[in-house]
Amino acid sequence: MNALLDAFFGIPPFWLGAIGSVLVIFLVVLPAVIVMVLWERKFLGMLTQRPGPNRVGGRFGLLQTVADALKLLTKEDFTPKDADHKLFFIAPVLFMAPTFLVYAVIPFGHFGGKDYAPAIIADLRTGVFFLAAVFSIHTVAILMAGWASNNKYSLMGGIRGVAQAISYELPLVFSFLGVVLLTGSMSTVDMVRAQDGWFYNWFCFAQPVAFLIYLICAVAEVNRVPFDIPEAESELVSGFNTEYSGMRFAMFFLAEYASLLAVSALAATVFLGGWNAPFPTPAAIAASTVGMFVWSVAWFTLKVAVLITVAIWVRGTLPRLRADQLMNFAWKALVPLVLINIFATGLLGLWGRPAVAAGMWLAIALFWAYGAARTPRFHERRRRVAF
Amino acid sequence: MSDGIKSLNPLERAFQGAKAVAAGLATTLKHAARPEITINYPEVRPEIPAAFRGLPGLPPTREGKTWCISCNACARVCPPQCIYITSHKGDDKKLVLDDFVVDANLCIMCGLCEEVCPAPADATKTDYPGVAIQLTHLYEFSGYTHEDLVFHLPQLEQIGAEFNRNTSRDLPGKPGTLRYAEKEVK
Amino acid sequence: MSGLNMIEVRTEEMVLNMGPHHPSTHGVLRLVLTLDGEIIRSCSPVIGYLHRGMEKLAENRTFVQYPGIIDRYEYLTAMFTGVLYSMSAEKIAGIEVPEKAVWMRMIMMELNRIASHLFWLGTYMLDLGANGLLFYALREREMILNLFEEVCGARLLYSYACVGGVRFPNSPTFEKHCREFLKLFPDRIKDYEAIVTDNPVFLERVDGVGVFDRQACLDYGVSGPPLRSVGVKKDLRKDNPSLFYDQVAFDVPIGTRGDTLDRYLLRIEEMRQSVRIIEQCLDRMPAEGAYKAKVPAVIKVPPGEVYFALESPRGELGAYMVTNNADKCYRLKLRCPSYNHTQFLPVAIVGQKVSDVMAIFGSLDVILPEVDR
Repeated sequence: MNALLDAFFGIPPFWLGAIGSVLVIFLVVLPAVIVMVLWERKFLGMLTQRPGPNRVGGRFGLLQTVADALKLLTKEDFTPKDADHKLFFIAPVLFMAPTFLVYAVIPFGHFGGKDYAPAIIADLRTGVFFLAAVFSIHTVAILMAGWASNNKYSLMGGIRGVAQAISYELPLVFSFLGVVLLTGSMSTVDMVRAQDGWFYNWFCFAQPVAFLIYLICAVAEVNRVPFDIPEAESELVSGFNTEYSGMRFAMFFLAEYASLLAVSALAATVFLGGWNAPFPTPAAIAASTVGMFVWSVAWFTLKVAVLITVAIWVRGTLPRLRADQLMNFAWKALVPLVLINIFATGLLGLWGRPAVAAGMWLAIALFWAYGAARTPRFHERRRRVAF
Repeated sequence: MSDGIKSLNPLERAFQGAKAVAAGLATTLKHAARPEITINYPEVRPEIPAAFRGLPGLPPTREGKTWCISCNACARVCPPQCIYITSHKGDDKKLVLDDFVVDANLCIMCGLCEEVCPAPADATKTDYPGVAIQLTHLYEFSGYTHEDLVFHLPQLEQIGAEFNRNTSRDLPGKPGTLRYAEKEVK
Repeated sequence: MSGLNMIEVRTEEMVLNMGPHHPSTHGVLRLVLTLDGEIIRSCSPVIGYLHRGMEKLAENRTFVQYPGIIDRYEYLTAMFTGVLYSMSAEKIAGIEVPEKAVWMRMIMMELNRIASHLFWLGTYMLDLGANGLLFYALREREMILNLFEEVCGARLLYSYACVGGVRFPNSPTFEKHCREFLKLFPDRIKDYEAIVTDNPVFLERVDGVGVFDRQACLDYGVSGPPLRSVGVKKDLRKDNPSLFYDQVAFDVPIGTRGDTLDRYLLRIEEMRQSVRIIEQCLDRMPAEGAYKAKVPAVIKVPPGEVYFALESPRGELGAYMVTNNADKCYRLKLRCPSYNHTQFLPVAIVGQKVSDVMAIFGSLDVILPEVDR
């Protein structure tokens, strides 16, 4: 892409990256977040046979999020008495910044051509490593927000948030390692290129366990139900962002949805084939740059939209996990599982990707058979009431 | 009795857990295909059954006056004591109604006033047969001050005429969809 | 290891106030909790924020006027309170209620039981985080409220029962709509169970959580589903049947372990049993019959006193009425299950984690208007 645009604009790559990143954030992420908030409310309404927003901006409530943002902007912006002013100020900013950093390594599409120049801000060779580093920063921001609010509830929310975040970061990053093993590279673009062709090349079929673990950890990192203990626990009012109002709260809110978008985009990139269609690109589209760009971005967007919808769907169904159960689940269930996954991938990978896929699905089939065979025992032992 | 899931081994628990989560998600998704059951008030109004108890009104006769004979039975029986009747003795020793006040701030719409009212509204002389004070289908009343919600005789006659339960099919707004089980689309 | 200085770590107990404004205390209840980390060391509930003087008001309103007011005593189960008051007066005065009115009272009470349990289910799931279930529960409750609206004209505060019978005759379509509802409701319960009952997240939060001590329950006068969850077979509909409960067949579910999951399962099962009762009542109710006994316009009840109790969805709802040959009662004392449960709450949650408070408190199904009267 740099070579391409150099030819058009003659702009040096560094500045291209800088301008490109700002453009991506303002032209892609912010409208996407606005649409996401509305879609969440609409879809939750659909799941519960309600209309969702349907007054602001026509029948589908299209301007609802804009109205919400305006409302938040015009609210009184105050800092609680005895709060730590510096930390209180920095926390929302620090919560937002890492979210946008993640977008730097996500390829949204590609421009075709012989070398498939990707539409990415920074094609780092250590993309996954960069992600692991970036994900840890917002943990500090949560703790800052909880502490600086001078509020017991916020503090409790902040502490729980930190515990949750660090518990789920480990399986999150390790779930990528299987894919890294299979592609031999930490770059996200290489991972997408390795999923070229038909849909069975996608890593969600070669690494189903890792995909599931990634989805669970992604939802946990973003603080969504069933893992929204730091935020919306009914006893904590609003957790670490209780004392924030106006634009500061809007930054937390925005950053949460932007995070959800970011982790969904990552899942689409690493596990669902990124910009690839489920079938090989038709030759007519592969010929033109614009056509290729639109095609790839469209497929990418579709995958991200599906993943976000799944996250909203889960939100509308599952209850909330308690803080200690959440951490139990992370450390006692997810971490061993992801480590076994890496080991198995490494072992089976000696015989190539199909062997890995076959091994994984065989293991899942065996697990399913075992569970189904033992189901009668479960039905016997299930709790019932006496009469 | 049974011990529940804690007695199963982790693999079984994982399987049953995954199955249960999947069943829950499937149930929720099934609902997404069903039509919405929200009535988009105020564009669409709910259909009010005939027995609905709204604010009391004093429907008028064809001459425009109410049937009320100022017996004060409703004022005596009202649990929150929200009815005030003022009258004076006319020339023919009959009570003439001066003002009939219902304080809608207090009214609990219990219908006792309607039960004890002795004045029969003669069907040949009015479009609204019944008793003098009747509970109407009025459920939308609001005001900016408490005084706005204290209704006097002219307002009560208007309420009695407009929202009378016998004629309230002509209420403004589109008729709502019937919400009973027989009409719900699964 | 000797020779090392052991630094004494002193931890303080934190006082946490779950104030009257709280999304999960189901009303204006203030809980002053003393926490040691996550464990609760003590709890004092502060009540009285919703006191309206219902018992005193009963001394100043006649037997005709008061049934309209006693709905507000426990608005989620307004049918029960109306029948409670009316039957207390009828027992002292010896008024016999016609058969059809008794069946109608029973049907309305059981429908109200289902509505109350649905409301409990929706709000309990909201406390636990599953937002979707609230709307499903309220959707079914809307159907029940429509049934009430057909007959009484009101959806929440019915003033349906009066001394001598019921105030409103059936609408012609009531039975048809009621049977339709009863036909589709058991499937809906299955829907709720599919989302909740086996869900591992839900079970983690309620299985084994908040086990009540049987003796403590009996000491504190706990009744209703919390008492039945510890295995005590006590249901006023079976032990002391009033109305026609001895003529309908139904089962009373009893819990085995006394934890929150038991209380949840009990209430779901009670909804199913209520469906059974209503079907039998609809079958056995006479088609024709008076709705109200002939009572004078001004009801004067001879001197006497009675304690009459009903099995409301929350427990034993009782009224102790003393009359004095007047048209008002001399003294009405209301015995409300939620009051005892709120008193029992500290016993239930001391030693548990803070995050479990909502799960346990929700399973007690306390509503504040009952506590504060």
